[in-house]
Amino acid sequence: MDRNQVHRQVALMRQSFFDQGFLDEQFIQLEELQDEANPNFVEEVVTLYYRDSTRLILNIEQALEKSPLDFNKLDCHMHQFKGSSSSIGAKKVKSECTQFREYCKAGNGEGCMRTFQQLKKEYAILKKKLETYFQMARQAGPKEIACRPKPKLDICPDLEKNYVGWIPSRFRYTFSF
Amino acid sequence: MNRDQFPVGMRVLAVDDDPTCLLLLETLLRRCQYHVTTTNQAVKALDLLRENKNMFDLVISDVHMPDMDGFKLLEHVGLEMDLPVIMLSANGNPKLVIKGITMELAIIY
Repeated sequence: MDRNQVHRQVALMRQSFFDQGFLDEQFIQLEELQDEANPNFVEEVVTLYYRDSTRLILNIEQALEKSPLDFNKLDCHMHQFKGSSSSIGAKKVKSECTQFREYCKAGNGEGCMRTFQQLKKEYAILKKKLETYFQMARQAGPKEIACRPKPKLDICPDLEKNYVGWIPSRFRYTFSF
Repeated sequence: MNRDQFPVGMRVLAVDDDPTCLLLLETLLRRCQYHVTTTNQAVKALDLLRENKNMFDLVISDVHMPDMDGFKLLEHVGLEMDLPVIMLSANGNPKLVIKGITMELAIIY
């Protein structure tokens, strides 16, 4: 496969993640933080997430083995895991986290366990997809970064390419995690 | 610092126990051309702040942390260092927001 074809494949794969609801716009925020100074940022964050989240999953698994279930503790663990998953844009995983927390509020242990199994499936599916994606992106080479327009921060609309003449009283940051 | 200019070089201390969120926060802040120091422990953050009160201009902290509640950290920072603090939370609970506001700070969630 020639390089152009690989680039096309990578772009199609990436688009499918959004179309099929695996990832949300938070992933785009990660991509916007990737630049020449930080060329592997997206892969680094995702790798860190999968490495760190194993302990969060273990915490939840251990908590689910207790009897009776401590729904407050379960909810607290899931809150952490949801926050982490949200930060990489893991849409389906995040949705399962929300469902899990609903079951915690309702004191529904069965629901929690069922949802947790589904969550782990989604988590694993996304991991596999992203591993394949990053592998292909590396094969495709640096064209991916060069093609992307220079990222802009989502702040005051008056702000152009530089920061001269910016007015603090109208300053608004939106950081979404 | 000239109040009419963007605060390039502002010294920020970022605190979050989640390493993924912390890396993301750090990178965002560096993109804003701030000087960023990170720690994943509130206790370490307090030590850093106590070591040299003039080392930072702003503290950004997560609310839910295992070693110390974010609000506790906020209390210490407010009392001892008089630095502005921004609290981050994925928790949209309005009670939490009011708690933060009565402690006179900005919350982003």
